[in-house]
Amino acid sequence: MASSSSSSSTQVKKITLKAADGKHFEVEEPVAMEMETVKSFFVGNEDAMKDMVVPLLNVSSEHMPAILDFYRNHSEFRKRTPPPPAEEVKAFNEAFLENKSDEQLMEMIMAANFLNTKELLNFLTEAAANRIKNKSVEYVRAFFGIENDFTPEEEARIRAENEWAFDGLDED
Amino acid sequence: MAKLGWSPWSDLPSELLHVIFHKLENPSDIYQCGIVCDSWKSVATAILSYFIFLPVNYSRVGDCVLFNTQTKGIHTITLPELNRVWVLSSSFGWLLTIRFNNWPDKICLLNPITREQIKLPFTRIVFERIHDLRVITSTSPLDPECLVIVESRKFYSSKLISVFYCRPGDSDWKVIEIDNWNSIDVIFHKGELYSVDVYGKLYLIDVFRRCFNHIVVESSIPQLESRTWIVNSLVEVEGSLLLVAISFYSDTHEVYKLDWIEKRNLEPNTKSIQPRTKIEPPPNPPNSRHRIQYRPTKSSPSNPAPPNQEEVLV
Repeated sequence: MASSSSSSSTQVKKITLKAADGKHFEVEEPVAMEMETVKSFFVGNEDAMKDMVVPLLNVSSEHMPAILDFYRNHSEFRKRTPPPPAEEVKAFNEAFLENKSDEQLMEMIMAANFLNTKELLNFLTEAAANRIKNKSVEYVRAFFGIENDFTPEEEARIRAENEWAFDGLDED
Repeated sequence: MAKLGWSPWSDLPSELLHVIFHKLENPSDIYQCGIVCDSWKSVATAILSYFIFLPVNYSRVGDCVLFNTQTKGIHTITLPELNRVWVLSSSFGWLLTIRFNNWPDKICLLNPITREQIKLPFTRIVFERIHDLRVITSTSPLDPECLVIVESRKFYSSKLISVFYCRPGDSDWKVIEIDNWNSIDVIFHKGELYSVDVYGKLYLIDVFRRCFNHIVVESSIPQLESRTWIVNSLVEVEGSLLLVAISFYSDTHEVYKLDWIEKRNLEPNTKSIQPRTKIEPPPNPPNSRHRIQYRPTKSSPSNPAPPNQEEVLV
């Protein structure tokens, strides 16, 4: 990145990100660059880094700390030699999802999609898939906050084709 | 909680939905998501079309194995309907199942995703070479006009009947009896039934008059003319009819595109595949779904090898 001779000392450069609701977050440059959306903001514009505030229009400040925490930990996992044991990564991921409501998870998926980070998006979509596996249609509708746009007749027909799917579902 | 002014999933890009649905892995779960709303239904339908059936033949435990051509994942569905039946082949996502417990044999089409079953007439016909039986249907079997063809292949035995047909609801199977006809494979292509013999002669068949309509084309593939190769099967991929030929000597396959619609001629050697390897499935298999088939290698027809030792003809 900016190879300016001016001494920014050994301190890691920080980038200011602005969440959708206006809150500012000071983030170490390597962590911020995990997000393709932030990275592309600076492409061909390296000098601007100092004062520029990067607006993240689709990311709520509520989720920023968790998302940044994910980047910090996972980039550390990637760099570490030897690689961390699978259990350690798994433990972090499980802790990350703990206490996250379905709605929060959905919002974070949208955020990860906007931030364009494959690793986080992959992880969160997997988590979403795990939560709707073997669940009833009503549960899935509620989970995604989706309105049923089938007419009653259409739905009856689709369900009639589909009777098997109502056996053996998990308790919601 | 800080609320943003949008409702996440109503504006969700369908690519994201694709990603999540693929991660469901189980086609039954994906199908379930298709009932949630109309836009989900189209995504679920698209993803389900990436699954093809792998042959099980006789299923003691009731398994049916699906292969996701996109993720290359293999998923097994266990169904009581499949317990102790022969699962022979599939068409439009429906499996042909035969239960031999009581005479006459019970023949059904089963959709393992929706678990619908369509009873086909009992058969008094003794199917020979049971492991080679193959079903093809003109449309989805839910269509009352659907024509169900069961082909029983008999290598090198001329003048033997090998095609049976019925519509769901018929009381019996009918047999296409044609003299001097050595069909090696039959296929529905653009609504018409075609048959090919080992030497690459392609016929259009009039099912109801039970006769050949006419000979469409004679192959001009040199290997077939020299009789060092024979035709193995017809396959439809993305609207094109492909002819798969196998060599007597080298155990190799070649696929020829039958471009007869425009040219009434054969375009030789569009692609060559090696046996015992999976060839790359086309990026969009939906059109070819009912014709994607999986066959044991010719050296072990009665003893199906695990998937990685068979060739997928797509």
